Amino acid sequence: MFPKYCRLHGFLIVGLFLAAWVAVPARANMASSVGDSTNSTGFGDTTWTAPDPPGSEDPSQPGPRVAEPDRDPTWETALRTPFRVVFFPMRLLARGMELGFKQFGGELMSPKPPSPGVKVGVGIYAGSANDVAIGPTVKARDFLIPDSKFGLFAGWSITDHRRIKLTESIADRQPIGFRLIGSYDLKPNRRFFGIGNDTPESQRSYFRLEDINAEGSLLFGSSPLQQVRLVGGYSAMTAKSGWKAEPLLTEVFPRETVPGYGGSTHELQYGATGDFAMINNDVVPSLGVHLRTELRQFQGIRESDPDFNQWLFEGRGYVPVFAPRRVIAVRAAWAGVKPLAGSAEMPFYRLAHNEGALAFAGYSSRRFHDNQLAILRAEYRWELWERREWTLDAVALYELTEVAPFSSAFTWDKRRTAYGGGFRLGLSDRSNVRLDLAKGDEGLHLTLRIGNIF
Amino acid sequence: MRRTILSSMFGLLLLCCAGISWGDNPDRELKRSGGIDRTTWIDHDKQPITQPPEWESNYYTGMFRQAITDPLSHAFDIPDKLLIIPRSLGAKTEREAVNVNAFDEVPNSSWFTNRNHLKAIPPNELRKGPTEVVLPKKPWTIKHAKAGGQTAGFQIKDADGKKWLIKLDPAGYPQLVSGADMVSRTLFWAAGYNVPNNQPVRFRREDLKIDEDLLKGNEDGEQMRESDLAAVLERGARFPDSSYSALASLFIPGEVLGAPSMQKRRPGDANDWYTHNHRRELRGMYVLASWLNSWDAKDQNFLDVFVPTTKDSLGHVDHYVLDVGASLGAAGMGAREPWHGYENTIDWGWMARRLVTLGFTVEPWRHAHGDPGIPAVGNFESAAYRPEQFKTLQEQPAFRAMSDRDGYWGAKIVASFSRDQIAAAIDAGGYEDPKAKQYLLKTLMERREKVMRYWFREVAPLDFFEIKDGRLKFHDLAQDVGITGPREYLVQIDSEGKDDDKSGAYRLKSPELPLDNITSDATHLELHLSIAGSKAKPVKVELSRTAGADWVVTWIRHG
Repeated sequence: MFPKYCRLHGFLIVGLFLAAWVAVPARANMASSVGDSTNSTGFGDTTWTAPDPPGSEDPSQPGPRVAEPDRDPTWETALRTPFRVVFFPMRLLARGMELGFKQFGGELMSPKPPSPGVKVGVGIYAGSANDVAIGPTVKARDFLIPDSKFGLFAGWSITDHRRIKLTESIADRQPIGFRLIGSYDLKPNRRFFGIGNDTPESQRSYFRLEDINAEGSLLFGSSPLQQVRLVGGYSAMTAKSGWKAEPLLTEVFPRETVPGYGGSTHELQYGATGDFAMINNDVVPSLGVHLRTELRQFQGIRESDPDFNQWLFEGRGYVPVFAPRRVIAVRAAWAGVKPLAGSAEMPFYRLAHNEGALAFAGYSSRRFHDNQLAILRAEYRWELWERREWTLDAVALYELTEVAPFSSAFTWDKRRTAYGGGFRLGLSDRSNVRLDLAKGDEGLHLTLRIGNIF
Repeated sequence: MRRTILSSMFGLLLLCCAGISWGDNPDRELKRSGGIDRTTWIDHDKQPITQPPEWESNYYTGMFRQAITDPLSHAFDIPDKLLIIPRSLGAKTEREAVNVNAFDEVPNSSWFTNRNHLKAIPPNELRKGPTEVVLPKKPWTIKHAKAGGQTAGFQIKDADGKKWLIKLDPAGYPQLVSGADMVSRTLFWAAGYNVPNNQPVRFRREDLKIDEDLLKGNEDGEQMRESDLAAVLERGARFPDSSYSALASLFIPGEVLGAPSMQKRRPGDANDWYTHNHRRELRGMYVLASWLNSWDAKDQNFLDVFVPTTKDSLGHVDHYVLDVGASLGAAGMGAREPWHGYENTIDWGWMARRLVTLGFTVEPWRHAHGDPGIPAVGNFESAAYRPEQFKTLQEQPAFRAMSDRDGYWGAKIVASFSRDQIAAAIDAGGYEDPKAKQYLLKTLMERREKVMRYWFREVAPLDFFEIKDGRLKFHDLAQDVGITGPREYLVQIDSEGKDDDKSGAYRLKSPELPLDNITSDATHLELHLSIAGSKAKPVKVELSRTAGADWVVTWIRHG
């Protein structure tokens, strides 16, 4: 009836039609693949109903519960009880700490913006692990003077270290500001090992240092990292026989070989200090340079008091290692004192020494005294934790240090080396916390420092 | 003498421990009239009780415990280390969730109501959420400043006298937090949780007035001057027409008792039988939170409310998921930080990894590029998302206790949401930017697929078993939602009865098992169903014959 080719075409057409009929829904299914199953009736559709779904009975009507109250299985209780007994003191300690955090956690984690008025509280000062002082604090904001901050702390530590510190700042963080710092510090067990780079550690001795200081600063620059400060003030120091530690200085050194021991010096001082930073992050810099300098002249009030210049030059540099969270940081610092012509002899306690911002890694504080001091340090820092404005870095450090009577006396052969690691918690552009464990030529030393340090 | 003192101290400690454990046990107060029924779909936990005392899980205590105490406790948990040995021999020592019925589901309770995964909610109903849309009528009188949280805001009384909490979106990000809250809380509600009545709102400065007492300084010493209000509004986001973008949350009716602890029961609540981290709905919430990136699911974002129901002031406690604004791509101060959802606030594991690798480890969130440039979306993505690696800021005890069984249950709820339903939840956010809606829908669908693929690979997604026409029928959820095609199933049968010859393994080509062909005389069958060629943990199903010789499903356990 139909030619053969017509029948063939007919079959082809019907076949194609059938294929299309099958394929179109298949394509539709593919298009509505994952989760887009609006048109089907299975689980995950908008019309889905599970077999025998629960009714809408009210749980407030009397009725059964689904299970008994849960409790530890007996075998687990039996297994855990001995450990619970042994660790009971630790659990008590943990609960105590939790209670403490409940009380003070808010202040620590989310400090409220300071409000005007006077506040009295309790303050803690940690000079070292065994030198924790506690005492009253008074803080005032905008009290009597607008845009002013006042702080007073008086503390007494377990090693009889007595400290009073008063600060008053006006127009802080303004282009021009003023700051006054007054302090009284009496520590009966400061260390002295002798003067020079080669003094043996076995010469460790102790003396009492009483330090009274008052300094006013006129600040130019709103950021502490871009600021020039004109400073002037008064300083009195007394070095005498100490207590709370042995041996005493005079038991190790003949009295006449230690200049200034047993007496006091009273000085007026003036000068300028400054910070010039070009860094990408004020708290945890990863790129840039920060230069710091302090230049002061001290004039003795009495004839027996020395006249001298005191200086600090410091440079810090930061380079990222492929990312800002990994940084190579270097620091070079040179500090010293130089008596003026005709000056009385420099007392040992006013010489440059490794303490505070000039601490040496791997050596105890005040281990070295001399006219001049130099530090060269390289660090690799890497970020461990960063939350809001806080950043905790791990640090691997290597440091070269030396003290010398004059600059040409610094020699490579006499350098002291130290290497180690630690942690650096960046808090603000003015303050960070460092915990370092470093090995120097004389063994391991752990140091904890808080403040504007490297 | 010394030995006597030591023995006495030891005995005293034991007594203390016993006393603590006895004192913590609410059994003595329980009303057991209803008994226990493992097949119930209603956990009757709204029995009339006197109002429990106000007690709230402290934020800072919780933070310290979860960041410091708990990790140390786990590190030195010697019994747990000892249990590694029996675990390696196949013993199951982890504790499964308690409030699970015979069908591996959570019965309705004051915490949870089975909704979408058992009966799909039509999209137009889902969009409305728990109640009809009610907006705070203007003008608004500010009664208090907003306490706690990162978002700026205040408490108001509207023109109808209703109390609301107003939370402003962060400056520069209109609809960011309010939108995320609305989308997430709508999906939390549809999943089964109790949520407050929230609504996105916009208002102008002239719609507000400060309450006279608050302006002068109220009895509590609280004061809000015009300048204080201006400072609050300064932190808020504005639309191009200068109106403010915010979320209004209606105060929940009842007496507020405070945030519950996810680690224990509420003191004084005799209905609260199960330690919270052993509740299935709180453990399984991890999967939902992971999907929605609800990265701040801490105790303080839950709320318990006492609802008096009788004339003599007896009532029950309802449990709410209160604040899920920190989800999707949102944070209180702006777009979510990249690590949110990937690390705890103090994450010892990641800190240790960074320490030992000298900072060269690359965390997954560094690959997560989730900022589409849409302010209302913030920072939300799906490409780097791994459902099982999700972390909240503070580690949740209930999330930590989650087993595969709980995770599967949570994934089942996530999988139950269709594209239309998710789109409806996004609609509830009231986004004005259509790009925000499209981006959120696409991202949520992609994340949903990852959730399903992960959990349905861990646990065989064979569910909703029923006996029909002499056959055991079930659903392969992975096939239902379209992430896999037809596949075969393996059944291992153990039978009890006169004739147990038919016990053995069978291969099924479709999700149904003809029962009468397999066994005619058995009275009880125990089936272990798995997917052919898959390592997913099998499902255990038990069947029993009724008096009329019909089979009924009596027990189901996944994983």
